[in-house]
Parts: sequence; structure tokens; C-alpha cells
Amino acid sequence: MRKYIISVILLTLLFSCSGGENVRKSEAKQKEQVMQELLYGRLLSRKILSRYKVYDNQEATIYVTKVGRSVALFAGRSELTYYFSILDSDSINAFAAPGGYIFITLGSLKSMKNEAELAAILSHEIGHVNNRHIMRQIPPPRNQNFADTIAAVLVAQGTVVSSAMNETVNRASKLLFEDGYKIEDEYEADRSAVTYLIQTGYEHTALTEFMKRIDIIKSENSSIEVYHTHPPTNDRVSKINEYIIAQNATSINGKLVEKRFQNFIRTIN
Amino acid sequence: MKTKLILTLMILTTLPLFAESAYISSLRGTLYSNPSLGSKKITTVKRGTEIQISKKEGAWLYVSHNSLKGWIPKSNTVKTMPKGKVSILGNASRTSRMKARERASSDVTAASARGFMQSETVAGRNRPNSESLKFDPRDIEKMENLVIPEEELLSFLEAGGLGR
Repeated sequence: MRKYIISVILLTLLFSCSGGENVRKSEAKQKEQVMQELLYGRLLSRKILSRYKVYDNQEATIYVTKVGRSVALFAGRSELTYYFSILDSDSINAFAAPGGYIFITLGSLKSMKNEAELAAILSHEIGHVNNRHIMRQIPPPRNQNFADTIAAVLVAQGTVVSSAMNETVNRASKLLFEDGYKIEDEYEADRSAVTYLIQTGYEHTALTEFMKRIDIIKSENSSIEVYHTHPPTNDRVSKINEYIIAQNATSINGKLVEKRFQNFIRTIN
Repeated sequence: MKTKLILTLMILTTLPLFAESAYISSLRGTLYSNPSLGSKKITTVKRGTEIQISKKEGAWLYVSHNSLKGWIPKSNTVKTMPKGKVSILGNASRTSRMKARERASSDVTAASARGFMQSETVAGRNRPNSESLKFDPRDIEKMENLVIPEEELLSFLEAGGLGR
């Protein structure tokens, strides 16, 4: 019996050791996947910045980054830093690339009433990143040696990537600017946004309030370019409200943070 | 002998079930009484804390921490211990924005040294007409180099009455 007990203990230790090894391998693989995602995001960001000029106002960018990263503190994925940039455009739009590269237009910011609305739109984009919507819909090529690719990006003018990776990024760019995400992914990003807003302490109705205002702005001025790849606002608002009810969250009141936002708006007008 | 073998295999195969755990990945993880954000908050758990998973329901996990049990959104957890930020350029260890700002000009120089041209066209001759701007790699470098210490974010949240 004693031999039996010793054997079981030894086998248990063996299993534990192999478990530790598995954890290390899993961590290394996860890190590689994040690096891959960051590279993908970086390349897609270049596409975004080939269409939009950056609004060069460091004070404003720091504010937007603080709002976005504050939400991200409560939004999981602690391995990502999340990078934010303001696009110098009157259009009302925001974009996210894998790895946490997030862009919002000046037109969007000027259409907002409070910080909760800014947090809501950034949360929606963070939701696309966290749920890996682009990575899942247009995955990077398999068997890509990302260490080599990253080296290539760094040393060779930033443009040398495999043709397969280039093709992937082109398809992702088409998704962002023409085709849009899958409708279910948009709804999932909305649900994530509501969750992040509640967990951060912002007023969660800011998301639907902003959407409704944009619809009004669009109906009053058809020349303003508004995000056109999203599902209709009524459908989104209904889905969001269904989620809020399911989460028993209708009575949760968060902060709008109006004064700080108005101070920010003065810096961009 | 055969009984012992079966018993051993049973013990070993059930080990992973007892070991299913996760870690809090967000700044704080809240345990709720039900799988809904509006339900009663039982406790909050710090980032990096190990929690034991009892069951899963949609986007929620039923977990225990010390003697407390409750529901937490799966998105607030991660399977392995959070190891800090992953960066494509290995610059995530910078700890102050000031340091990043001071380094802004040298970063641009470094970028040039790595071969980035100061203003390059992304897709070359075959680019679609809509990609009409010249991409400036410094724009992405600026995004990546904007470091805001976590303490500053916490003060920002506090000043807005957030994160409570």
C-alpha cells in the first residue's frame, strides 16, 4: 500500500510539472498571438491614416487617451495598451484596428455632449478589439513567421510584409471602409460598450443618446458623412435596451462628466 | 492491482477539474449575486487575483475567492496570470508620459534609422484612389509612445467620480 501511495504522489507531481510546462507554452503562444495582433493592427492603422489626416493636438489626444484607457482598465485584456488618435475630419466616425489602435474623428467629438458619450464610442471600439472581430472575420495568414515579419517591418521602410499579409490587411481595410463588420459583431460591440460603461461608472444610456443624436444630425444635414457600415440605429437601440433589461441594469445611474468634457471641447474649437 | 490502476487513473484525470482557475485581468473584478450587472455586488477582487471557477453561464463565470462566491463577467478574467503589457516595439516599460514626451524627437530619429521614411506612401502605385494621403509613420509612433501612468488614470477617474 505504501508503494502505491508513493507511486500516486510521484505521478501527481509528474502531472503537475507537465502542467507547469503547458502553462509556460500557453503563455508564450499567447504572447506571440498578441504580437501578431499588434502587427496586424499597426498595418491596418497605416491604411486608416492613408485616408484621414491626424488632428495634431497633443492636449486633446491626451484627454481622449485618458478616457479610453480609463475604460480599458475595467475592460479586461490587460496585455494591451490601447492607442488613440483623433482624425482631422468633419465626418462622424470611429475605427478600431486589432491590438487596440483606435481612431475617432473630430466631427464625432464635436457632436458629443459629455464625456460619457465619448467613453461610449471608445468602449464600442474597444469592444471590437477585445472580441477580436477583425481577427476572427479576416484572420492573418497561417504559417506566417511573425518574428521575421516584425523584423522586416522594422528594418525595411515599414512596407515589406508578405503578400498574404498585405492581402489580409487590404481585406480588413475593405471591411472597415466599405463592407462593415458582421451585424452580430456590431451588436456584440454595443453590449460590450454598455458593460464597460457600467463597470467604469459612466452613464450607460450615453451610447444610445449619441446614436439618436447622430441620426438627427444626419437627417438635418445630408452632406455630413456619417458611419454607414453600421446596422440601423433603431435596431441597435432596441438590442441595447434588451441587453440592459436582461442585465437588470435599467436603474443603474452613471456619471455624464459634462464640465471636464466642455473644457476639452474648447480646446478643439 | 487492476483496481489500484483504475483508482490511480481516476485520481489523475480528475485533478484538472479541481484546478480550473482564472485570474482577474481588469483593474478590479466585481463578484455579483447573479449573472447580471444590476444584481447585488458581493465583493471586489484585485487584478491578478486567482479565482476558482465552479460553473459557466453564457458570458459569466460563477467563481469563488476565499470564502466568497459570486458571478463575474468572463471578460474580466484571463486563464493565465496577467504578465503586463505586450508591445510590438518593446517600449511598454516606459513609466512616465514625460519620459515619452522627452523621447519623442529621438523616437522619430530612431524610426528614421530603422528605415522609416518621414513621409511614405503605404500601398505604392496600386493604392486605391481613396487612400489619397501620404502616410506619416510618426503618427503611429506618437500613438504608441503616449504613456500615461496608471496612477494618473486613477486620479482622472477619481476626479470624474468614476471607477467606484
